[in-house]
Amino acid sequence: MNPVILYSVHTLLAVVLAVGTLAPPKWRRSILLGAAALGCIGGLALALASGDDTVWRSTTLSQPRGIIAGTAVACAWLLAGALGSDRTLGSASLMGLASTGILLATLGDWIVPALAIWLASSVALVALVSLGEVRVGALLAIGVSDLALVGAFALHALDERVWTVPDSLAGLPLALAAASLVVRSGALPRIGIWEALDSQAAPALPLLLGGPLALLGVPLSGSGPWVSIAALVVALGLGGLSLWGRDLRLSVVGSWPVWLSMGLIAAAPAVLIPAALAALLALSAVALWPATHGLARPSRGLLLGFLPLTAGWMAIVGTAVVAFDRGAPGARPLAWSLIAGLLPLTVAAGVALAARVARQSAPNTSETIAAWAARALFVAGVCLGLLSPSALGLARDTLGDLDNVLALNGVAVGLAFVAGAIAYRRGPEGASSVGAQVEASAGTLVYSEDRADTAVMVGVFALIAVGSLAAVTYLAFEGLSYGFLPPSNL
Amino acid sequence: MGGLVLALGYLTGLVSGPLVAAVGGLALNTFGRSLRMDRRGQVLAAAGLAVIAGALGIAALRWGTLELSELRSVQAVLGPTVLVGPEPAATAAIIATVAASVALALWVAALPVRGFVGWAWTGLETVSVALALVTAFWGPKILLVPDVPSSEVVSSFGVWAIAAAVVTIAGVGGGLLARMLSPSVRSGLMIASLVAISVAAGFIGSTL
Repeated sequence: MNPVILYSVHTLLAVVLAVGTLAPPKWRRSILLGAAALGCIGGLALALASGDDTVWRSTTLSQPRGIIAGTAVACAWLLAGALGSDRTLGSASLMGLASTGILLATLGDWIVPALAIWLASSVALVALVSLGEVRVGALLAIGVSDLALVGAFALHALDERVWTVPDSLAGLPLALAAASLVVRSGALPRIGIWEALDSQAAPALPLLLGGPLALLGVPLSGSGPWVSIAALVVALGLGGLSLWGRDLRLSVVGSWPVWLSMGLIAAAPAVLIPAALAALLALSAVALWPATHGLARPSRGLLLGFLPLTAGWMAIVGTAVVAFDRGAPGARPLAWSLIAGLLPLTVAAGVALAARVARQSAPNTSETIAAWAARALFVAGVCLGLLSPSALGLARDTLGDLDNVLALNGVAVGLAFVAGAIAYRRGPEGASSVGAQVEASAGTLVYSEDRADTAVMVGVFALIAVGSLAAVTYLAFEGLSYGFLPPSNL
Repeated sequence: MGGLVLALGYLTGLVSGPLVAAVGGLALNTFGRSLRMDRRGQVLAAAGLAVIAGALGIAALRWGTLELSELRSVQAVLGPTVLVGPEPAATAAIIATVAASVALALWVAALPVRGFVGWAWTGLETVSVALALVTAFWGPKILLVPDVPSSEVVSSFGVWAIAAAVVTIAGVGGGLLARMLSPSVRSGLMIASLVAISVAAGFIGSTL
């Protein structure tokens, strides 16, 4: 399919939604659902089309960036449709604009246009997270992460005199890129972009995670075993924190898949696609959580715990193979042995977290669109987990002899489906749960609502944004002075 | 159900693949059971899974491979993991085996089991864990190739089955005994198992 259509369909849908705000209220919900369905299909189509390396202008529809960015956009539209109402067409419209920006920026080949479009998409995201009320934490997270990203790319470009989007970073640019990913993606629990949770800005969450993962995943992947160890330890800490409290805090639980994915990606670059997709699906499931009314709990648990047979499990297996191979006698085995030791703990923490999530209390058992959306995410995760590993960038025999593995997985899924159907027919009375159910709350630390403080922090954000724009402008002029074409780019 | 199929598929040799894939089956079993546990039970079951997976990881690090077929082959030639030197490696394997057995008993004790069907299912799940431990630490190769005499097939299969049965009985029996202990004692034993696995990891690390 022509990439122009795949990029621009989201902007067209944004225009339709913006016009739709003028439609009679009884039509608006249908317009939103239709646009969300089309946007979701558009994102998935782009993910499936990537790998052809189709070039359009300064963009290339390549793996793994296309798959990650396309999936992030599809998840965002799914959330917009499932969480939306006849009053959220405006926010969905902004999300569509941001989606096109994210796609063009992450698939861009050249630093300056990619950064300029990235900042433009950030403007749409800022408008989205500011709808209804000014969410200062989210604003600052976007601003600071953009500044760090621009700094990372600018330092790399000026040092190396290379103007293409980097596939590898080192030193300070690597640290800045990592900081940008951490601040923007929801890795920081309870603060920053988590202010958007349980609001009409929630569909922005997959874009805020998927954008940096698509753009920075490649340079950050393989950043080293010690980075991986640090990320896995933080993930375990967050998992422990989620298990420790009597209530579940969604903004803490939601940080777990982000850190876990970063840890896996840093250790094994080959797991970038399954780890990133698993994080996106898990984060989207968390964003849907408040609207599911306690339904689709086991599905959400399996996605969040990175359990078999989901995409997250494939990422864990892929990382374990690398860690155990390199942990054997040879160069620098200590770090790899530590990763090999942390992975069983991670699996166990995932199981405990998934079980705790699955026992969340159900105040209302009426079906909602959000519950079906959560189930759709689970089905997507399982489908990814049942794919041939080579389709996700891993070695074909990662899970063993492929034909036998597919047969075994098919039997396992079939029997699990039968068992699930029997349990469903028995109903809630058949499940002899023990102990208290688990309550869940957003648990976000909201910035002071004092208007004076808010004004000051918005001013700080504006200064940061101006700084980012100035850096990109400087980079453009510096590139122009070199003609953007040093020998290394030819 | 799905977890049991996955674990047994890999551990019986029907599907060749990495040990960690079999651990995935055990993880799914634990998840399914945890849905009916209280918070303490969930943590104990997950900790048991961590100790068992860690012990399996120590065997994998000992031989430098995650592949189940390679783990079976190397032990068929050199002997069971717990008996083959160097001394620190064998010590690590023994500590890991003991810790994993204790963890298995506590894992069984944490499962909510009622009635004959419940115990039969628990027995199957315990068999899957026992097969994993036997394959990693006492894993004579299962000879199912055409050129091997049938007597050798029977003997190799027999040793493997007896070892798995012993660990299963120890797990279920230990689980029944552990149910008589107070929750705090069970937690203490699990912590001791986790510490033992860490010590074993230190031993195996010294040999790398």
